[in-house]
Order: sequence, then C-alpha cells, then structure tokens
Amino acid sequence: MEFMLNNKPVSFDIVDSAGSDHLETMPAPDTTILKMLRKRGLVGTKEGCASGDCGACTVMIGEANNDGVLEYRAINACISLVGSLANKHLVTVEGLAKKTTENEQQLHPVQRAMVDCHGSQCGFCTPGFVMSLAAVAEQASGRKAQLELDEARMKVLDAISGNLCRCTGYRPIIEAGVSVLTGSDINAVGDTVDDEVSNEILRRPHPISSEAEAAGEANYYRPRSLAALDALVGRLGNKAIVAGCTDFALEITQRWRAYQNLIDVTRVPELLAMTEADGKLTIGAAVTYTDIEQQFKDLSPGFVHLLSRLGSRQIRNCGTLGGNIGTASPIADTPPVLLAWDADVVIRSCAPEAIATERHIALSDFYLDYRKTRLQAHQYISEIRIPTQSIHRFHRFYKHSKRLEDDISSVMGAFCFDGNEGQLIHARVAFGGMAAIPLRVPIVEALLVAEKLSEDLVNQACRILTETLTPMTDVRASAAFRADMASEMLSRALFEYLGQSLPRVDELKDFGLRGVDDV
Amino acid sequence: MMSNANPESRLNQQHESAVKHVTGQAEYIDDLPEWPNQLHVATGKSIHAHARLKKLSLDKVRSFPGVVDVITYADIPGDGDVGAVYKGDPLLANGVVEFVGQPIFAVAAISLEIAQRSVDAAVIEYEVLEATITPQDAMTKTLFVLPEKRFVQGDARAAIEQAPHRIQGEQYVRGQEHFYLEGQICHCMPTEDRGVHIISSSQHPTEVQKLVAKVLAIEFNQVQVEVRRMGGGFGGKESQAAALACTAAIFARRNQRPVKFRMPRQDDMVQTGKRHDFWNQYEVGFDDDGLIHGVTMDLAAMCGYSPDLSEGIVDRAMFHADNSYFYENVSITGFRCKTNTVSNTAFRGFGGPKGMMAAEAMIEDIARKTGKDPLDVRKKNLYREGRDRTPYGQIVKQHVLGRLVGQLEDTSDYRSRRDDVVSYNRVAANNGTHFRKGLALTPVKFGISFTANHLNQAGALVHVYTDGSIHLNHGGTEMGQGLYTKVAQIAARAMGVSLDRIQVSATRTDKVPNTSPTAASSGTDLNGMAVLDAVNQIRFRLTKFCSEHFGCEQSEVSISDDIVSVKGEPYAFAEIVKLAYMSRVQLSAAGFYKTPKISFDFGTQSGQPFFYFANGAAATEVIVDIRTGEYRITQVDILHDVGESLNPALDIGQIEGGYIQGMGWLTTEELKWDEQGHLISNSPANYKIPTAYDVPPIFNVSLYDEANTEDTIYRSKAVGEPPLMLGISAWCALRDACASIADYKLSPTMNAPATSEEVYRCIREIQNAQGAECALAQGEENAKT
Repeated sequence: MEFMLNNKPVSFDIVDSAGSDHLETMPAPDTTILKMLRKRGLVGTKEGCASGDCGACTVMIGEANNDGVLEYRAINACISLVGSLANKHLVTVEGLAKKTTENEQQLHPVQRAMVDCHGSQCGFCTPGFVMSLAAVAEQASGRKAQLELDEARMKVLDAISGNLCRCTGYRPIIEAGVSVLTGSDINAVGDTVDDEVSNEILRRPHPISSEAEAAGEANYYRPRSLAALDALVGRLGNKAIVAGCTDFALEITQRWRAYQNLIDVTRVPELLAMTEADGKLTIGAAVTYTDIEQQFKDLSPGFVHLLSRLGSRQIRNCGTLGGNIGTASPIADTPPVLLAWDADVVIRSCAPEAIATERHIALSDFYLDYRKTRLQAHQYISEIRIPTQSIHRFHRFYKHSKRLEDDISSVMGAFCFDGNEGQLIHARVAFGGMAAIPLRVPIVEALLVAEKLSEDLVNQACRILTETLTPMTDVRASAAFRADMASEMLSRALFEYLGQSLPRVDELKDFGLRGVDDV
Repeated sequence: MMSNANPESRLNQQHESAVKHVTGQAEYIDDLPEWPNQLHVATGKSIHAHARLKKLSLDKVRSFPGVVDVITYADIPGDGDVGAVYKGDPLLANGVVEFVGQPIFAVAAISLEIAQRSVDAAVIEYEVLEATITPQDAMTKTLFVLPEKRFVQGDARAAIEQAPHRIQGEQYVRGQEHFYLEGQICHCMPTEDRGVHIISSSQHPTEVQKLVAKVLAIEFNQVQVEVRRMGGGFGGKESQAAALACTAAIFARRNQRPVKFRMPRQDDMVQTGKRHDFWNQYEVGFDDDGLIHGVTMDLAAMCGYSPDLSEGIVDRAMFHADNSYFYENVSITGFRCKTNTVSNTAFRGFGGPKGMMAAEAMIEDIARKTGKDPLDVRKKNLYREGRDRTPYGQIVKQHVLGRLVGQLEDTSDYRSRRDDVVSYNRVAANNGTHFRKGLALTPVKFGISFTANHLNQAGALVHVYTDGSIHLNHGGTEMGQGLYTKVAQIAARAMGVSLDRIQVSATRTDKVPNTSPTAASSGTDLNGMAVLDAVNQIRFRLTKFCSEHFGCEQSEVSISDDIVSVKGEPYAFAEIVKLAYMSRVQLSAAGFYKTPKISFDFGTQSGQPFFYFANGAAATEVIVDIRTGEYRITQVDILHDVGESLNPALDIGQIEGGYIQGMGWLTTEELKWDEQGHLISNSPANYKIPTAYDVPPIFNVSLYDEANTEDTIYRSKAVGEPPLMLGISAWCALRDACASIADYKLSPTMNAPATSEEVYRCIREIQNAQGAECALAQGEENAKT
C-alpha cells in the first residue's frame, strides 16, 4: 500500500521489509493513523481522547477528485485506520511549515495567525486546531473574492467544531481563523504535491478488482467493486465491515479489541454514489455526511442544518449514512429523519457460494431491538433510498442535546406532513432517544390525519405521544424531560406547519444572533 | 526570534512556546522517544463503590502474554499511602475499596494495549458494603473526612430575626471535570543510585518527589522530578499526578526498566479527582433597600472517600461565601462530607467558586423580594470604607469593587440593555412568543495567597553565562498559563536585557528544591519575586564590579537594553559579563521570596489570610427558549483587575479562558454519578465542555487600570483563578431570564449546571408558582367579594 505523508511517498509492504530502504511492514489492520504517526516519531499529532471527541489528533487527508484535483478534509487520526490511507495524501502539523534554512521555517498562514492572536496556551490541542483551520483555508484557497467577516466566522466555527480547547476560551482561535479566511495569504498545500511520484500514488487509475493487503492472517481489504465486496462479506461476515470508522474504531481505542480482518467499503463505486431516478433519491451507504450536506443544500436546508449538529466537521468528513443506520443506535441522528421520509434500505445478501441478492426493506421494519437489526451476518446495507416526494413535503427535524454542537441527541424528533388547509393527509412522526430503537409513532400519525388540525388535536396528539413512548433516564436527560421534549417537538412542528414561526436557538444566525428581534 | 524594539510589543509578548505549539514541536511526555525495554502501566479497578476485597487472584494477569510485572498493596516497598496532606489515599486498595474505579492492582506490560487488556483477567471477589454517594446522604449519616469549621462575626441569628425581610434558599452546585487536553502521565527512569528520575505532568513536582521517595523508602535526594510543560492542569495535576509517578517508580525499581504510565481518557475521568459538588443552604435577613443585615450559610462539600486537599478547598469556599459583599452579622459553616466517590481535589478557584455561588444566588433572591434590579442590590452591599470587615476578620483595604463595577456598568451599557431586556420580555410575554432574554452583572473578589501559610514561598536559580546569555529556573510549572513567559519578562526587565537572552528550562527538583505547587494563582507572584531577587543579586555584583573596575560610583553604572552604561560610556552586556567572569565575579544566584504580612489563626479567626484581593466583574446576556430551556449566551463584557499587567495579552487569555471554563461548569458540564456510584459522565461523549460555538459572539474584555497597592511583582495581580468566577454571571443571566416569567417577582431554585433541562425545570417551577400565586390572589379576590 502506498500513500503520501507530508509530501513524501510511503510504502507499506505486507512482508517484512528487512533489507529494503523504502518498504516498511504494513501495520496490523486495526492500527489507527494516530498510532502509526506517533510510532514514526511524528508526535505533533496528539491523543486527547482516542474517541474522536476532542480533535487534538486532527490531520488533513487529500484525495484526488474525478478531475485529479486533490481535495483536502480534516479527520480525526485517532479513530481512522491506516489502511484507509491508500493512495491518499496525509498531512500532519509537521507538514505545514516550510523549512527555509537549517534553522528557519516559514510558518503556514494559519500557524502565523495562531501565534499572532495568542491562540495557544498549553498547546496540547493546538496542532489539531491548526490542522482544522488549515483544511478550511485549503478549501477556501481557490476562491476569487474574499470572504465577508460573518461568513468567515461561520466557516471557522464549522471547521473547529470538533476541536476542544480548555485554556483559551476559543476567542483568539476564532480570530486567527477569521483573519486567515478574510486575508489574502492563503496557500494551498495541494499545489506542492505535483511531482511524478505523487501523481503515480495519488492520481493513477485503479483496477476495478478487489485489492487487499492479502497475506498472512491479518488483512485490510479495500474492495473496488460490489462483486468483490460481496465475496468478502460472504467469507468474513458483516462484522468486518468498516467505512468512516467513527463508531467502530472505539472498539479498538476504548475497549482494546483487536481485529484480524477488516473490509473497507469506501472504495466501492456503488456505495459512494448519489443518484435520482424513478422518484427516489438513492444514497450509497458509504456516502459521508459532508457529501450529503452538499447534495441536500437546496433540497432540504433543514436536513443540512441538522447535519451541522451531527458530530463535528471531522466526524462528518468520515461518518457515513450506512454506518449511522447499521450501528442501530437508538440515539443516532439520521434514522428518525429517514423514517419520517419513508426511506428504504437496500440490503445485499451474499452467502458464501451463492449469488448475491438484493432486497429493499422499509427502514421502519429494519430495527428489531436495542442495537439489533434484521441484518444477518452475510448481509450488508448497500444503499438508502428516499422518495423524492417525501423530501419535498413539509418537514422539521429537531435535535435536543446538552451541548448545541458535537453532542449526541437526548431526543431527536423528525416530522413530515402533507395536507390541505389544515387537514393533514400524510403525517410521519419519528423519534430517536425515546425507546430502544429509532421509531415512528403510528398511533399519533393516525390521529393527526383523522381530523382537521386544531389546538385541541395538537394537545391530544402530544398527550398520546407521551403515553406511548418509553424513554429512559441516563446521563443525557431524564425520562420525564425527554417526554416533555418529544411532545414539545411535535407541537412545534405542527404549529410551524400551521404557519407559526418557532425558530430554535440553534437556528438563530450566529453573529449578533440576528433574527431574534423579529419574533 | 522576537523583536524587542517596541516596549509595547514586549509587554504583549507571545507565549514562549507559541511557535513550538503551532508547529507540533513542543514536547509533551508522551512525545518522548520510547525505550526498547520500556514498560506501560494499567490498573485493575474496583467495580463497587464500597466493598471488602474477599479474594484477589491475579495469576491469569501475570501469565497474560506481554505482562512483565503485577503489584498489589503488599508489594509497595515503603509507605503505601499517598495522601497529599492527610493520610487516606492508598496507592492501591488495601483490603477495602471506597469508590468505583479505585485501583486494586497495577500491571506493567510491553505495550499499553496489553496492559489494558490484561487487567480483565483478574478474578476479584467483593463483599459489598453500604455506600454513600451524595453529600446530603453523608450529612444525614454524619460522615465526614475532616471536622467542620465555622466563621462567625456579630450575631447572625439575631440580625436575621430582627431584619424586615428573611429568605431561606438552597442550591446544589455540581463539580467539574478538569478535562485538561493532555491526560495524566509520567515517565520514570531508574537511576544508578537506586533512585529514580521522573518526568511528570504535575503542578507540584516537589510533592511527587516526596511521595515517590516515601513509597520507595528512599531519601528525597534520590528522586529527581522534572516538568517542562503540562497540556493543561487547572488544579487537576496538583495532587493527582503523584499516584501515577509512585506506581511507575515501583515498577521501574522492581524491573530496572523505564516505565511510562499514561492514563487513557476514560481512566483519567474515572480515577482522578474533580471539583467538589456542593450543597449550599443559606438564610439572610435584609431591609427594604436590599441591605443585608445577617447571613447564615451551610456549605456541604462532596469530598469523596478521602481528605486529599478538601480541608483547604472547603476553607476557601468559606473564605469566598461573601464574594464581594459585606456581611455585618454572619455565620458560615463548612462541612467536608465523606462519600464513596473518587476523592475530589483542586480545581481553578479551589472551593472559592462554590462559596460565591451561594452569595450570588442569595443576592438575586433579595432583589426579587425587594423588586430591585439585582445590580442595585449588589452595589448596595459591596465592600467599601467602613463596611470592610470580612467574615474571617480581614479588612478589605484596596476598594476596587465599587469603581470597577461602576465602570463596567457604563462600558457594557448595562442600564439601557437592562431596559431593553425587560421590555423585550414583557412584549414576548404579551405576544406569547417563546424567547426570553436575561442579563446579569456580577462581581468577583478573590483572595490571593495560599491559605496554608508555609506554601507562600518560592525559589529561583539564575545563571549568566559568559556569552551574556541567561539561564533561568524557578519552582513554578508551566501549564499553558504563560508563567515561563512572564517570569522571563521579569528577568529581562530586572536585568535590563532583551528577552531573547533568557532561556527558561524545565522545572526540576534538583535545581530549585522544596517548591510549592503552582496553584492558588500564585505562580507569577511568588516565582517572579524569587527570580527578581536572584537577578538583583547578579545585577548588584555586576554593578559593583563595574564601579571597581572602571573606578566610578555604583550610581554611575546602569544596565538597560542590553547595554551597560558606565559613566555614560556604553558597553555590550556580554562584554561586561565576560570581563566580570575573568575578574572572578559570581554570575549565578539563587533567589528566594516569601509573601509578607500574611498569617491566619483559624481558632481565633484572627490575622490576614490573604496578601491582597484580585477583582473583576462580568455582564452576560442570554436568550432562552422557554419551550425547551435551550439557550445561547449572546454577549459578555468583562472588566478585570490584574493590577499593573505584566503581559496584557496573556492576562486577557487567562480571563477569556477562565470565563469560558466557568461558564462551562455552570451550563453544559454535568458531572453525574448513578445510585451505585458509577461516574456516568465518564467520557467527552457524555461530559460536554464548551466548544467554540458556545462562545458568545460578542466577547469584550478589558483590564481595569489600577496598580496593586501591595508591593507585588511590578504591582501586578494574580490572574489564574479569579476570572473563572466571572462565569457566574452566565448562570445569573439564565436565572434572570427565568425570573422574567413571573415579571421578576420570583426567583427559581436553580441548581448548577443550568443545563437546558435545568433551565426548563426552572421555567416550569416559576410558571407553576406564578399559577399558584394567581390562584391564591384570585381566591383572596373572590373571598373579598
């Protein structure tokens, strides 16, 4: 396997590299990028939590897009696996500053701004912030016009949403980021990666066959076709599947589990596609939240806004829709949305020696019990299909969490309505955090279409809702509060449907919180 | 390197490690190269809050592939108790476990993963004992780690009873996880003299040295402890770092191999102490003007299973239960409750914030009762001439508060914003809309000095080399606060040389001995003065040498801007240094400082515990969704008193960071144990410190322009802890928004943190109370007719 590390090629071989200058032994499949980096002496990238919550390990990953242009994204190195790096460019904090002479270095504009704005105190989180800001600067480097202050601030807040700092109070870090994005001194890391070696590693066309570090007992597989993936899942079972790893990697870093075989599905074209046909929007299971945000920008600003509160930018750059469904967490953010939109999941079955088959099941039939789904060992989710009609209906997605940003839902409510003049003909009411699985509440849905909407009907629906659901008390919220919030969300969605404006605090425009005085 | 041409830029000198931070070149302990034979440590932990160990079988742990050594309490060569001040903290459980997560045995293995995996192979049988998890429960059972203490001035009971109005209140204020980004860690190398060299992430290297020596049963002089920098401390590495070093040292000695002990985040959150939960109760008597006549307060702290630093922490809560207000008749009692939870420890403010929370809640209650703006009640009760005796007898001398609060009231435009907030809320109430605004301006007065008197001392070591470069050591540790930067600035200023001559290096117990912890905001005050003493000695010797060598008066010699001027003739500093060396002048000095004026006798409540007070005030505005309790903090204005600032940029950094940390403590950071004593907020996935998004978009910070009247280092004031308590204004603003629901006539019992769930509960409480009051009023009305 080959990749670029701070502009230099690295080759991992599957056999012992003794006697070779540039080949190194491939680390075990469950090795995180962070661990690999620190073993190599690149210790600028820090471990703060090993769970993707603090961002001290943030690095940039560059990947050639269809035009061969390298696009860079920030990710958490602590929960990303080395095998995912094949043919990508990994940039760490050591790779930003340019050495000018033996003792001098020219700081990257983000580094310069962080120093000038007093953006570091203890310094431990600093490399992570620098990388997050460098990634957003990189993305902004191609643009013509300078960013307005407010827009720059929003971009900076988004970029550092997964970086915790316990010393500074963030104000100088935000200022540093804004000063770079509103300035003219943005340089592109990608521009420097252009020689033959890097072209060979980063931009060469790939064979459409299975590819794996396939020797010995430990393997990190990177299938490049659905057929190759089917064969692997048939042989190894779906427990070996990894995509963004944002949940899976915690088994390794928090529960100290070891894995011999992993199947990385993020190079299978079918799982990366987003297509619209036959009245359905089909999203590949390995499509990341960041890519979904792009797709839904005009389609559903409400969904995009919800995604802005799902994890952090680093998590959204890795985490996938299929993963969010497949882990079957009762507090995952997207399943209630997909339930409200009547989405299907496409399940591929690939028992060994058999021809792979595909079937669609409604997401509402997918979940069985706490962390249990209909998926059998030789099955996996390949696609999620949403009726486009659903997306065009009135919908509201509400998330309640202790912290507004980068926090897990205590209650997640999703609502989709359609009707004429106050009479609903279509109602979907779905929740996360209110039972052992994400679920729809058919009894309430039926009530809502039974008669014309009125304040009485709303109250009645809320009452039945709280009688029906069985939330629990845990570290995030009490059962009683969850019940109140679920009911509040339902009534808010209905009143908004009826034309009232009930924005939530996270919907207020950030800078100066404009819009507040309009209410 | 940095330019020093402009004195202003020198004042705002960047952090000495800033460039190293942003390039990843700043080295932390986990970044040190690993030795091929290095061992890694993990501990086997109790799953019960209180139990007797019936059986401990570690055979399968010992035989786990890759495990090299396993130890229990019996294997500790010396004293197995690592209590910081009082006994009570066994390094490994000795027959009984007293909290979930308590280390029972420790493993050293060839990798961290193996060490962590191996501990699950232990077979442990427990006899479960009754556990106490809350301070309320401990109060009922009268379980304390140390006896209660009380401050009394005047006759509080009589004053309350005779006052026109009386209020009783209570609040539960939860603790706080430090969440330093660098978790607890140390590295230990056995030395050839049967001792150990330890590199620790510790705020208190001397205590690490002392405890490691005791655990190994060796002399203090066989242990060297070194701290270059910490990735954050906040009090969490004052006493807590020592246990890791002691465990690592035992393995290093037994195996004669280097040992690293790094706690993964979850172990760190479960196994190390935090800020105490406090259950505060108060009763106050006051008049129509809101003037306080008498106060009683009971402050009950959840100390955990052992004393650790809880004596001083609850003392400091008591010392700050007045915050900025004069209590003529007062009785304050502090209780140190014993609970079967991890032993709570120092955290920025050291109990002070908990006492202040009681004071601020009480002030607001008075305001609601008297119908006054809470700011007017605050101003009415501020310390001033003649009303200046604290509950512990010390007289407040430098009266900063009145002027400072008045100035912030103007610059934050408090009065007109108050009007806007009130009218916004009235319109919202009439229209039935769901947003309410809140605004609060709260002061902070924080006593500076360790209340353990002997800790108010510091040492320094300064070397001038013959090329004119200067090497500097002192007893303080760098945890991000910029201590090394400030001390280097002090040395440069005192010597009259440029900052780039000064090299500050790691704090080491073999360079400056018997140091105090870098705590109590004292780092610069103490170590800056010790360095000044050392520099002054060398400067005096150079001056004396010049006068002798060049044949002039000492007054004709001066050093500034790297130039030694002798009778008006300029010489390069390095040239004079070299000349002095050739003439056998000593170019090294040890400096020392002890804080003057302070002494306090708890028994007679006489003396002066604090050298001076640091002050500040913050005005915070919030917007709350009353349907959900969700909110945003929209604006904060801060004016803070750092005396003559040594480095305004660093001071503002401390103020901003302190405010946000205090805001986090009182808003989203919710420490929670379940009924069995498991910490359920045990990871960053469920314990939420603020992110950048939580930072108020309008965030104005200014320094109050007045020198310290006490003779501190260049008349500056300590800045580490006091700004944390500015965050109380955020909590008060949320409570203010809730109070608006009953048109500011009622105040909800708001516990902390004010999560959206707690704010929602308060809103319902107020709505219900208002409903009840309306019903009552209606009933009275009906009765009349």
